[in-house]
Amino acid sequence: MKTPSLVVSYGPHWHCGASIKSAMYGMALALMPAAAWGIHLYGIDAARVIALAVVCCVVSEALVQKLFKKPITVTDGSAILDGLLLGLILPASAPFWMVMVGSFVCILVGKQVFGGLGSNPFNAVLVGWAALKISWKAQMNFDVALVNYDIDAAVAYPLGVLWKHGASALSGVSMFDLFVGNEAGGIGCTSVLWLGIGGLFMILRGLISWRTPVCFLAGVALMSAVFWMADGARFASPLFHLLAGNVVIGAFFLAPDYASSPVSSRGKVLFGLGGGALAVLLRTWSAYPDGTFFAILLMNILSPLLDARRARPRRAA
Amino acid sequence: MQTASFFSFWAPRIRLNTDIVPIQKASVPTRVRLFTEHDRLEVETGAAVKTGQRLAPDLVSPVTGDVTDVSSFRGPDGLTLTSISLDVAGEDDIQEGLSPLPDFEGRQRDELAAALSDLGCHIDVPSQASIAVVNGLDLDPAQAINQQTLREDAAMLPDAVSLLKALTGAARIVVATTPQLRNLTERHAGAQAEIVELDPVYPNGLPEVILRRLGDPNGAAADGFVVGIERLFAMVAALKSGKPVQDKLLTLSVLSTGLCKNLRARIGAPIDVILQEHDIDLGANGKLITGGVMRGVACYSTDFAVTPETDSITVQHETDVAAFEPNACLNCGKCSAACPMDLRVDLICRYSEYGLFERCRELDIDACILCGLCAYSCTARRPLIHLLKLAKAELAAESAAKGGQP
Repeated sequence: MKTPSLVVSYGPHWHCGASIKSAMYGMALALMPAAAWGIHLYGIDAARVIALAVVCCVVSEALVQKLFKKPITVTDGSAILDGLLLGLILPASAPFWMVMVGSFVCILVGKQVFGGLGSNPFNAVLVGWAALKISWKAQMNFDVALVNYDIDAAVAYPLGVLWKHGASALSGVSMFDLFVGNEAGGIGCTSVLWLGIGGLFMILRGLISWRTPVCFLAGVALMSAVFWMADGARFASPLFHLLAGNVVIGAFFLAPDYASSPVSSRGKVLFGLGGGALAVLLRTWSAYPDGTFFAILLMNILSPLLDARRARPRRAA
Repeated sequence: MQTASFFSFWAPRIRLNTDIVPIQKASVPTRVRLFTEHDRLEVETGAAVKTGQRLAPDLVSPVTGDVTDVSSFRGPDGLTLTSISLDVAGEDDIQEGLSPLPDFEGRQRDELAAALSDLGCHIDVPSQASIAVVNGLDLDPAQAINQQTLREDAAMLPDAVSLLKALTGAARIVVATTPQLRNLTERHAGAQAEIVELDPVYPNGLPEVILRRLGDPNGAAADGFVVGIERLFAMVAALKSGKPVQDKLLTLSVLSTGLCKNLRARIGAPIDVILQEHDIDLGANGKLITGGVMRGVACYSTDFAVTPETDSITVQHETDVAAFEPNACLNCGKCSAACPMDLRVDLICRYSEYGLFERCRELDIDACILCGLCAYSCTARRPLIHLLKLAKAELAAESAAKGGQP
């Protein structure tokens, strides 16, 4: 019998089928409903911002990798996902140069200087976002930036109202509007419904663990419940905090970022609870109406520490 | 490719094969090839050998025939073995001096171990095991011999339990079984042993995982001994009949076609003969895997033969071969979520990649059982098992150089 040519290796001889591409494109797919909602709300302006952010991130990644003399890996989908996420957390009115600066900062400072995909200590998208938020306050302020859009709700930007006037001014806000996404905010940040569907898809598909998002939402609910029970007239209800602003996109899409969030189960739980609680604290006491993204960035610093807080494994015999 | 289902959550879940796979008898080959780790043999080329005759300290002939060749051979996992080829005679001529043991109760451990060794079962039983486990689960998703043996021969359980008691002296005897076979197990062994039902999911059938589950909740895995039910029943049958173990049960499967058979094959039967008999074409650039798809090794040649440890022969065609890639770690943490030993696989493997083996040890790489679930789950398709094996080998070599335990 002729000896056939055989492949020689150790196990395992099966693989679950996941790949970097399938993970990145899977997450991008999960963002599509929210992106569609944003385009429905803000029309062509939203599509312009998203498309520009995606293109800028991909081009920046290719440029920076060429500059750093590293293999160019833009086809793995991670730059596309970064661009998509950045586009979705910006206002539809963002000028083109702001999107370009944000994308470049996200790729260069957020990701590539640390060694690229998987090595960033901070969520790269939020690094780009934070640079814009701090630099161009007016363009990033939803109250000011989105004044020309007609949002079909009693209060356009409820978090801004809460921040300025307290919870008693929120009486006209419909929880249903917040759930569907009828409020001012980033293009794809506001619709709890569509983001939730995307998040559920990622959890079922095994792209993210349920622990980070669920604990993040629990952290928001618990911390806001503490305030609310202390003074219901000044502080908003947990339901309002969960539905309004960036909490849901943060919980499902930004907090579970692979590189910048903890790996261990216990770390994920602590990271989620801490991030959620911090988000409510920042909403209550910081200089910004919505501190969700800053809360995630701050928790990123802690993630190695949260991972270290794990029990020693049981030893094999 | 055998992949996880589209909706598969965070941690992997690989079901064991719980189907009924009847055991068929494979024909006796005209030539056999036996392997031993010893190079001092008790026979040489040309010698006539009886069934049950000792060929080496760890080898008893399963056939009657003539030795045609003795040579050095590199096994699939890289160890150098001595290979003995025999032409098989028509009829079995059994070595004199072997006598049946009707019962095992009250017999000495050494007496039983010597009798088993004479019958071709070489088994290392720890002298101080606190738990002894009869494993009714299969070790790998590509194996179905333990479950099928239990299904077909459950009546042998009482004898098997008393043999295990006498061999190990363990105070606690456990039979591990699946939900499907729980009633059957309970009926035959419920009176003599503790029955533990385990989810038929990989890696629940691995000895280390079973012992860990049976161990005290504070941590240390149980100090115990696990034996597959197929192996234990073969020992019982050999002792009761006084006939040496001649056959090995194994699962023969072809992943791409779904073919899956349990065979009673002669020990020493060449793998190419078995493949031919079942009309299996390897094709080009496929894998011939012994020991299962998760922990097994892909052989470099069909020149290998069935050994007493061959639980499965699995053919994977080129289209199904999983490729691992030299990607950087994404930090997604799926490896650590998959690890049955709760290790930080992501960190250990990165340390190994950069040669920081001491750090691997600090993160308890010694507890790793190489189950393969981390590499199976890895999003970046990194060769994690290779990195783990590298670190383990480097640490072992370092310890050996220091004069410690190898």
